[in-house]
Amino acid sequence: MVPYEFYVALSGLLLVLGLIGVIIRKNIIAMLISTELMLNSVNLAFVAFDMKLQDVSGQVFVFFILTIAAAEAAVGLGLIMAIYRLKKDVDVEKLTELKY
Amino acid sequence: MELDVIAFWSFATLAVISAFGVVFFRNIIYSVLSLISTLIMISGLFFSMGAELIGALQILIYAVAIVVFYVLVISTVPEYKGQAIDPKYMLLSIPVGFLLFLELAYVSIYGAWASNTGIFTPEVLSEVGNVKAVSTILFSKYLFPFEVASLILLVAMIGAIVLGRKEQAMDEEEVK
Amino acid sequence: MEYLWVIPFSPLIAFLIIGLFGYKLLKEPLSGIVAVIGVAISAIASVIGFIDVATTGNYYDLKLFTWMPIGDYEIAVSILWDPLSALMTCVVTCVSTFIFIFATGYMKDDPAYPRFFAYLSLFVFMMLMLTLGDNLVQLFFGWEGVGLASYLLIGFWHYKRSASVAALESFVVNRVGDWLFLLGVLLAFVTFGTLDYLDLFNKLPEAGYWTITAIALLLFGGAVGKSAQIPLHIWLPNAMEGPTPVSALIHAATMVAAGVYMVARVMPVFAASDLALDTVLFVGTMSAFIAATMGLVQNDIKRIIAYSTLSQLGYMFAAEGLGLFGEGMFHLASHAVFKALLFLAAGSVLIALHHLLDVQKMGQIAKYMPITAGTFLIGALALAGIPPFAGFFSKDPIIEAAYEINWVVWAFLWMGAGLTAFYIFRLFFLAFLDGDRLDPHIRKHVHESPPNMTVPLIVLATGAATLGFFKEFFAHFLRPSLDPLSMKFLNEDTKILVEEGLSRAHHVHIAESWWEFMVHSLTSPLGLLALATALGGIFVAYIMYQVRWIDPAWLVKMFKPIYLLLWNRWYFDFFYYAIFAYGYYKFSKLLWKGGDKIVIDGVVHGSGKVSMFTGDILKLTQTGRISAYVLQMAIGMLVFLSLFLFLT
Repeated sequence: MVPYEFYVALSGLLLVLGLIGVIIRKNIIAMLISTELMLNSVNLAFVAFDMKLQDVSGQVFVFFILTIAAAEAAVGLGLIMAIYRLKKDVDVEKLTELKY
Repeated sequence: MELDVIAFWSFATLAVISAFGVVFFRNIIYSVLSLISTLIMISGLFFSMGAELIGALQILIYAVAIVVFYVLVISTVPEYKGQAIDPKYMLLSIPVGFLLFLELAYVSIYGAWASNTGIFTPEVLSEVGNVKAVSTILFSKYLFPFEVASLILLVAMIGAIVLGRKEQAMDEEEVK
Repeated sequence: MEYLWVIPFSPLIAFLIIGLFGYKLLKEPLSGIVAVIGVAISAIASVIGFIDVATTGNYYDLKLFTWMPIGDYEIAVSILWDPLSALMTCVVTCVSTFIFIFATGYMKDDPAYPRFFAYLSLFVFMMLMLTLGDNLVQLFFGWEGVGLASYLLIGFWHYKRSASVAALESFVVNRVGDWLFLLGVLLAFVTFGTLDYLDLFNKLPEAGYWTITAIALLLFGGAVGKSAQIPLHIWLPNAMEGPTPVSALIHAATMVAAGVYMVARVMPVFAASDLALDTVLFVGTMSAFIAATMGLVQNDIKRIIAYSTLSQLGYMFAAEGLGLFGEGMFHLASHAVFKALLFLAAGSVLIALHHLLDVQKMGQIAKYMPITAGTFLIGALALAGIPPFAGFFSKDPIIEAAYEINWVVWAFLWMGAGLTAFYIFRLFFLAFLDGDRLDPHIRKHVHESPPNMTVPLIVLATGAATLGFFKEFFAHFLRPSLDPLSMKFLNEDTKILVEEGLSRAHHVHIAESWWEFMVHSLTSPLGLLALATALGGIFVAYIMYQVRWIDPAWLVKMFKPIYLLLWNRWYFDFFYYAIFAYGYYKFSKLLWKGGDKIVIDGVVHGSGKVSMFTGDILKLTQTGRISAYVLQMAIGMLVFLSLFLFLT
């Protein structure tokens, strides 16, 4: 049995990779994809802890995260379509309405 | 070497490599494909941990439905011609990310976690099976969140439809 | 003796009545009549009390109510009626009565007539509280009160800028003196635990020499301010901006004499300290001489008389410094009479000439105003010290006694006497006799003043002529207050202490009766010298200004530097302005420019600028790019995670 710490460390690595992806990608769709990566790493952590705690509540949680991730992806992509229609571009650098 | 150890290391390595691919590929379709790969590897990891239900659900929902969303949107939007990666942020984010990873690893390995709280010891699990275990908890203790989740899905669906619609101002004016 | 309470409160009631109802009900001349009646009642009461004390030699200590208890001691409103305070009170009330009567004529047709008499009554009340009190606090109350009344009256014609400036100057300079006085009172209280004169005197032997000296010098500081001695004399000439009755009452007869009275009242304190007496002597002599020199070259009729007041006050202080307190008080009384006379005569002239002040523009007034000229002449002769007028009997003893104690002092006092005779007769000749320099338009209207102004003049002139003959009476009368052996309220130790202090005057023998004194004086070389100097002064004035054998203009040219020094009043005003007024102004400006503008505003604006600067830097983080925000979140997470892991 692989000890649960390795799974948690792996989840941390994937989380950090997703974070880096959100920061450095310029295409807004790519940013959303990196966000999905981060969600998955969290799922991994949940199940790893389930292994340790000998409970299945974590997996129930992952179930919910899956659901919500789907909803969020749908809404997010809908927003991106609306933005694209408005600005004709998906470069995140152009979306700086909140700049000082 | 036991099967789960081999499974862990192979799935883990491939997942990490795919994740790198998601982040660093210039072409966005390559990025999406790497995402699929990552998702499948993670599903494999779920299976190796004994969480069969969500392993299966992961593939069904993520690797199929969500990725299809992404591909649909990517195909609607014309090819993104700019730089894929912004070098300014790379300089700062990679060290920060690395340090964060180190800290998380430190926490996970040397952290003090709680001990057993649950009822599903391996003996019970081997007797009952993972699916039954998860569904028992899901439909008893977490019934309310389950119902709420379905409502959220409904709302998200409506939202996505509204957001994705084209403007219909001209039709309305003609009607008047 | 309860009737003595009428003395201070009668003018107070007059003040309240005129103050509250003056403008509505008591139009001219009713306010004046109310004021005169108020003072006259006080005068009658004080004369009755005077006679009582003169016949019995008793003293009375009456307390009305306790104003404020401090620990074991209680400050009470009270009257100490002994020969000294009786004399002073009589002088104040009697002279005031005549001046009030004169003022009803002088202030005729002035729109603020009621206000004038209200303030005058207030002044008399305060002055009486000062003289009647039996503790230092009541004296200080009256002291400050007369300063206030003086301010109000100098600035009576407040629309004249020079008047309000002069009033303020008098108040501020007085304040310097009052500050020293208050320190003296505090020191006395701390040392002796009480401020009643009688208790204070009896506790005197208990305190150390330097403490008593300090108290005496501080109290004398107050007297320097109030009585306008050098160096706090600058306000008195400018105080002539007030109406002439004010100058006569306050700045000749009464308020400025308060300093002399105070020193005499607390005589045991001064007598116990040689240093204090020497200081009084020095300041008095200097003032007597310097003020006389300043009076030589003035052209304003009232200012000449004002400098003469300064000088004569110096003589009074010099007498007290020599240990001759009785002589000093006698000179105070006679000076009050003839100085008031001189001022009122000047006032009469001013009314006739429509407030023309410049002596160089007057002349031949004696032709038109004989009564005024005659009474003025009597006053001038009294001031110059010509027998048999009052000044001879009061001023010459001081000068002659000075010779036997300290000949330097004598030299200055003697020279001052000569100068006094000169300048007062210069005034007389220029204004009343000499050539006709009057403006023709004014000459048409010059006439003698009405009786309510000339009668007081005549009464005061009579006093100036005859007061000298009561010299013996005064000397005997004042003994229970000023001679330690006769002072009934002192205990033995204090008597010995005071007797020692006054020992400097022991070998001086002043003949008591007027006839003896006159004979002695006219037969001794000293007395003859003094008389000759006075007559010489008059003669020189006659030569220069009446017959014009010596031209004053030529003298001025010959002695230009000295003339300039005197004309600019020894540059006191200049120095005070440069150091205090201008210096303070420059210092304030420096504090304003440097301190306020640069430092304080700098801090205030600076904090604003720092805010804005920080804001400008921080706003660079708000790029609007989502990636930047996520990066900032990641950095924050890193920082906090490190903090939690490695610090706790």
